[in-house]
Amino acid sequence: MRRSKIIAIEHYLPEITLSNKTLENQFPNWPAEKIVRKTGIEKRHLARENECASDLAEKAAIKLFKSGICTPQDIEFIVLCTQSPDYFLPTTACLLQDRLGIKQEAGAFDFNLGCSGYIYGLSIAKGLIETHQVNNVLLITAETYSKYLDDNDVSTRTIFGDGATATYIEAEKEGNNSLIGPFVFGTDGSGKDNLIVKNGASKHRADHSVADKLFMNGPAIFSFTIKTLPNAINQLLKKANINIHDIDHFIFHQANEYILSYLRDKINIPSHKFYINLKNYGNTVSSSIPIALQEALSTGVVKKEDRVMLVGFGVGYSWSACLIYP
Amino acid sequence: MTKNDFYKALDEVFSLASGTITGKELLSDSNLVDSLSMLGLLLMLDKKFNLQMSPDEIKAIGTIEELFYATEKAVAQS
Repeated sequence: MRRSKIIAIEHYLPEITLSNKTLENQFPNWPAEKIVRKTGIEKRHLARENECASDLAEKAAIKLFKSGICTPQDIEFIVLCTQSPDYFLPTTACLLQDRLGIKQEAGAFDFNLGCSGYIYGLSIAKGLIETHQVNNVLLITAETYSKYLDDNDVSTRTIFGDGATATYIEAEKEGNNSLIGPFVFGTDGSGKDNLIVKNGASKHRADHSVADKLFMNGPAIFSFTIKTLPNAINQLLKKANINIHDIDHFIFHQANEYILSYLRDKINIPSHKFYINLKNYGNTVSSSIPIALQEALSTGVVKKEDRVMLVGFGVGYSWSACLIYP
Repeated sequence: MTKNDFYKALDEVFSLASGTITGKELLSDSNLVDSLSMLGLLLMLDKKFNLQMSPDEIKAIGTIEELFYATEKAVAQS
């Protein structure tokens, strides 16, 4: 059986940072100490005004190439996850092909998902490789939610940060056990209004009677999460025919520490197996899981032979979970 | 859990000094129950009482005292 494997991950964070102290100066009823206690976040990175998702993506990909793992000429397919593309059209992945010097024979497309996006991207890459359509995929996540945020919305400005990741996935020698997968997926579009940017696309084109900025109903999203995720995780364990104790590490989408701690305790995951790292990044949407995975690998918390469960959930509502051997 | 203990737990959830909550506060008051406080409340109800409620269900209850009685009733019935 042909297999696919994550070979390397790199990430890029914009240089501008927003600290809790700066938020406290603007919102005096929201002291820095309370922010970190309630959310686990101390700072988040923000794209400059003229810095877009493609710019962050390009820098993440260049870091990958500089590591020597692969070259632009090696890449056979680009899959890019973003909800803040440079343009409605053309596809941001096409821009990247040109700017990175990737061969014209490579395929490239964007897909629009948020916090579940990295896992969906892994499944797409696995499908492309294991059906022999390509030998490798460059999976990019690139998000600049900061461009959608209302300056006066303390909740969203506290939570969200910008960032991009580049993951190189390649065909692996034949074997019986999957190195990426299995997967479970889930969708509930009835939750669409709880995390939404209403204005600017086809439904309300530049209609300023409709809210321009990102709206988030955090408590409703939390309710959806606690209702949905434990069941999704059980489905994945059943699909893999293992139990929860067989997982070495869990990396969830880094939404906020409140939700993460709750889920960890609710699902009975030991703390030492449950990775949380949003302190210096905030919620970077589809980039949060790969940033956490890369950090966990580079610090030795996660070893290459470990069995890791990735769990993504959020805007849509959309959710997904998978097992990997990184 | 006594009513007093319930109120004290909510003082913590809403980051208020102990003894601040009197029970007469409205759950729909966004100055008291902002989105992170509502998250904390949902968490507390789930962890301490195994109760899953939506934010809209909580706001519809009325006051904090009414929430206490609703919680007591739900726990007794479970």
